[in-house]
Amino acid sequence: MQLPTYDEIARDHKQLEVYERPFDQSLFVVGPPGSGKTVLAVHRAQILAGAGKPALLVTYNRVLRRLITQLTEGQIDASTMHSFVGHHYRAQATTQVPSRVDDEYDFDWDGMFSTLQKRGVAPGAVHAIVDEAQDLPDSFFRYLRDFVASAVTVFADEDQALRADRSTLHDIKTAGRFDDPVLLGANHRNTPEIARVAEFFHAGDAPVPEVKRRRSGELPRVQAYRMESATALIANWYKARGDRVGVAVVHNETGESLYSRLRDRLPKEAVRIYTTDRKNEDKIDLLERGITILNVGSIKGQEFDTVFVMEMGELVFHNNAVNQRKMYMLCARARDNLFLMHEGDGLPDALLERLPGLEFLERP
Amino acid sequence: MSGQREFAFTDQLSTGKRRAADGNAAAGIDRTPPTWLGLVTSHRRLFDASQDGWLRPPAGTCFLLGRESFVSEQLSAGRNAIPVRLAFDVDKLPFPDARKEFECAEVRREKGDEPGVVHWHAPVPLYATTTVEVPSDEQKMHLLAMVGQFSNLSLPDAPVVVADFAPEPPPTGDRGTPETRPLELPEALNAIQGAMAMAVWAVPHVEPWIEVLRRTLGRNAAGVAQETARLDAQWLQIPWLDGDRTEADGDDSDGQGRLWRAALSCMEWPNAGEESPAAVADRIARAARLDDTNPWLERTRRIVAGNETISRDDWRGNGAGLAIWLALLRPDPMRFRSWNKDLPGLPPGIWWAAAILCGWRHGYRALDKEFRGDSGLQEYLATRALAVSWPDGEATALPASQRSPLERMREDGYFTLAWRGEPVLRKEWKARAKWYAADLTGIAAGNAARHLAGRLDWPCIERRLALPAGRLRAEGSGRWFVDGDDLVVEGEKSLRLPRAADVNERVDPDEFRRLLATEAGVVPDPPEPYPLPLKAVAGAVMDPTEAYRHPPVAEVSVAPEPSEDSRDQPESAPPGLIYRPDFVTEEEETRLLECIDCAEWITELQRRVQHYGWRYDYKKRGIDGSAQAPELPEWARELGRRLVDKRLMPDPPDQLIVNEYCGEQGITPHIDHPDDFAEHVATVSLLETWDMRFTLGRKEKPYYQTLERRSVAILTGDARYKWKHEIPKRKNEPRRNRPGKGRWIKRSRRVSLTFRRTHLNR
Repeated sequence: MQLPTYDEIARDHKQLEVYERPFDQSLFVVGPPGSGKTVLAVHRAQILAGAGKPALLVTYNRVLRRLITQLTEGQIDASTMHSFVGHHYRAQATTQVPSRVDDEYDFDWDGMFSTLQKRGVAPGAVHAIVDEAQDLPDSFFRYLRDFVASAVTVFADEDQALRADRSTLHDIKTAGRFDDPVLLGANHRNTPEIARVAEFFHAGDAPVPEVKRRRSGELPRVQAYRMESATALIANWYKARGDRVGVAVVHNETGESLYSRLRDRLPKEAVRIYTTDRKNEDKIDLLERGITILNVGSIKGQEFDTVFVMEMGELVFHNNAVNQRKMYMLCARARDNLFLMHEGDGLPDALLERLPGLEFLERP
Repeated sequence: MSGQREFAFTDQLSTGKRRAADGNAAAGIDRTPPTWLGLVTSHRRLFDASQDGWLRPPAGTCFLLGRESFVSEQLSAGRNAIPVRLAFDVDKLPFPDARKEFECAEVRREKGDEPGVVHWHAPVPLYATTTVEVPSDEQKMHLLAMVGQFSNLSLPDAPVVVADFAPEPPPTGDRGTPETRPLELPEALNAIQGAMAMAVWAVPHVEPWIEVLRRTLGRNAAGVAQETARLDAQWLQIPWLDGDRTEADGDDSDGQGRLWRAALSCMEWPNAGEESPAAVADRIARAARLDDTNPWLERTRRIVAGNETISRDDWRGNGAGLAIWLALLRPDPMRFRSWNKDLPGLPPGIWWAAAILCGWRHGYRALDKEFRGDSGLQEYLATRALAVSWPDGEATALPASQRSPLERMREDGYFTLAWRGEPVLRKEWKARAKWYAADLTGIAAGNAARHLAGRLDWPCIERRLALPAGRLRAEGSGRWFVDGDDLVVEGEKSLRLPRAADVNERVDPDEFRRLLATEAGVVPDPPEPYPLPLKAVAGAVMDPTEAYRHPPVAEVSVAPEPSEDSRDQPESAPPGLIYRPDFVTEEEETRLLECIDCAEWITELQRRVQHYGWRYDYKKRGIDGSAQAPELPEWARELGRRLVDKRLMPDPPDQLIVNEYCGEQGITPHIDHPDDFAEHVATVSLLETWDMRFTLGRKEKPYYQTLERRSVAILTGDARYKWKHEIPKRKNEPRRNRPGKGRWIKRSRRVSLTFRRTHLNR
């Protein structure tokens, strides 16, 4: 995640205002993918840390937690919601977190609230910063406000939510007792060419973000592949462009297979994989250039210079709201170049019909 | 670079003069120029200026600056704006003629202006800033924290200080009339300063390119042309230097000059900002008048599509072409940087040209801080870029103090360029620079250079035949005659050479140096000790006083390595180990090294070796009876005789291996092959005193025998057949003969001569 130039931010006064907001106040920020939410979250945490004020960062997934730890060079304590609540609740209530019988990750929030209230737990002098808030249950924001932090800054993107139990902006606002959100309207990540393809999959109430970057002149590409040709293309691309390349896979086995092929082809280069099975996010270097293979769930919140969306057909053919949202999210990971990769010997018409037209998407 | 040269500077100048004349009419006015000017502005204005180093006047007007006081600007930066108070050193302001305006300041007061207000009709460079002040600690912290969140903000080189002030309403009054339209910076400034910054950042750390850089910044176009032609880069036109010499010289048969100039014109900031690499390449090809099937163009298309990759060998006959690829594929300097890792050993000139093109396209304003250097260099480059791009010439752009040239400072191990007496650029010598500086007339250095050139296939090796006095018999049908110092052969002739005739190869030092600055290849550091001090010429008789002098060893105090080196070792040496110090004299050592370094080294192993008598096969771990090895040279036979005379060996040795150990190099524990070699094995140590370690089994303590410089050690009996011996791989050697623990000496180079007698003689 490269730092922006000042001109890039100053073109968007909304974003500049978030930079300029005093840091001891609660703040609710809503923005689309690429509006710079994670960078703003880190920025706010760094300012607080620099002023000697305690701050904590809470994220939805482990890869994002790792990214934030790297971005802040370990200065900032970042944790996932589950591990944070687990530790905090145990320390305050001296018992385990109560959860539903069938799912240990599904907390019994109401039970927790009444226990902590009975014990008279009050918020401390800490500033909690939450990224990807739309993926967290709204009760968590009440938890933060009532029992944890004197100030809470929340970054959310309603359109990116992957899970059924996600929070709407209204839920977050009510539960966390926030003022109206600062709406970041602009997309600072994608080139206009990539943003147009992402928008094709866009659904939801939020307006399509205005793209702030300049045109790159390079259209996203749709391409059919077999594993061998995909490996060659990814390797050549990486060697020529020296990018941070992200490869998104639907199935972990596909990721493992690509991983071993790319390792063979580029023995000296940084080829990395993160899958939920491996639980190895602490080893992945997300900021250095290289090829990073991630599954669809783990790539959220990341950005790469070039993204290859493998097994794209599966998401496009099984056309439902969740898959459409995934396609939007995946396309929006790419800063400069995007490849939609369909496994097979050619591109069937049924697939092309569900993709943006030739003027948006280059075909071989 | 055109289109911006329409400034009415002379108009403004005459306005200034007129005003000065008006001022003279008013009586009793102090016209001492102020030493500083002050401004209160907002953090947003400061940030905007910190991108390219220029604070511009509010749109369409001129600055109102406090005359040794502070004047506020109209602030409109929102409710969280941070007021910033800046003071500027008048002596550092550019546009010397515009300073005449100051003389009118007092006149304006009489006309009803605010007192002490100076009108400044030009941008202010941040390098003129002497103080930066904000009203509170909180705001200072917030300001600095925000700066750190952007890639391209270089605050002025002055500490941010907290001061008690508040912005005031800006002064009313004349803020410029049409005839005092403020000066605008030339549009070309951004591309030029971007290219200059990248040129400085990427300049190859080898002598000729440092000098080329200095000349380009000093606008010595002829000097640059002369040097780049010598460096095989006739095509390399520097974008901020005028002239089109390649076309003029007509020396562009391979079209590289045309291609490069086309790239410069197509990629100047902001021209290629929104185009894909393929589209830019097409435009370059059109500008260079290449047809659609041109091989460079077709290859470029395949590369940018990801169907092919580039390699550093693509540079031959394609210097400009490769440099353009490098800049096309990775247009952002942050990413461009990684070519260094991905294509190591690029020809220095190609790397430099590509970096210049990258900066030329990217511009300075968006350039990451990483490429800008420290404040001294930033100020120098800001003034240089302004001087070069200013249409009316340097003298109207900069005061004389800002126009002094860049100078070389002599400093071993660094290239240092100084401006106004202060170093602004300091680049450490890397391998190529060290080779470049090495005295290659020395035998060891010359040999090492020959090896390097041979390995990299650099065409700078010449063969020489040294003939002794006497008559030589020639055969063949041709004829020959002597013409001055030349021997002219017509037809074919062969010559019977006496044994004393010597054919040797050496590098042409001048050509080798030129290739260091032009050729591809990963170049390792020259061998230690460095720089090589040898003065003698190969083949000539050495004067002992001029001989290879081992440099004084550096005494380093390091913690002892975690080995058994606390000298907790057996009382007695392995049976059969014989040791004699001072086996050769100092003079002999010098002569021996001369001879050894004149001869060919074998470089198959990590350490360099020479084999005489019989070749030892390291894979089979024995003598290779079929492989040829040179006979033992006279000096080795002499040492062999001495071993026998001193009763250290029963028979003269017939095989010799010369080993060179540098730094950490060593040899693993082993026993010399009992079947191939007779019992006595003698090792003579030269140059440095290192330990030999003997081990019997895991339980027994190892024994260390210090092999002093110029000593000999003979292995016989158990020491030869039962104990393993080794030279430990480590960085330092203990000082055995001095009191005091923890004193270690850094290893540099040890040469050992191992004499054996083979059983093949039986």
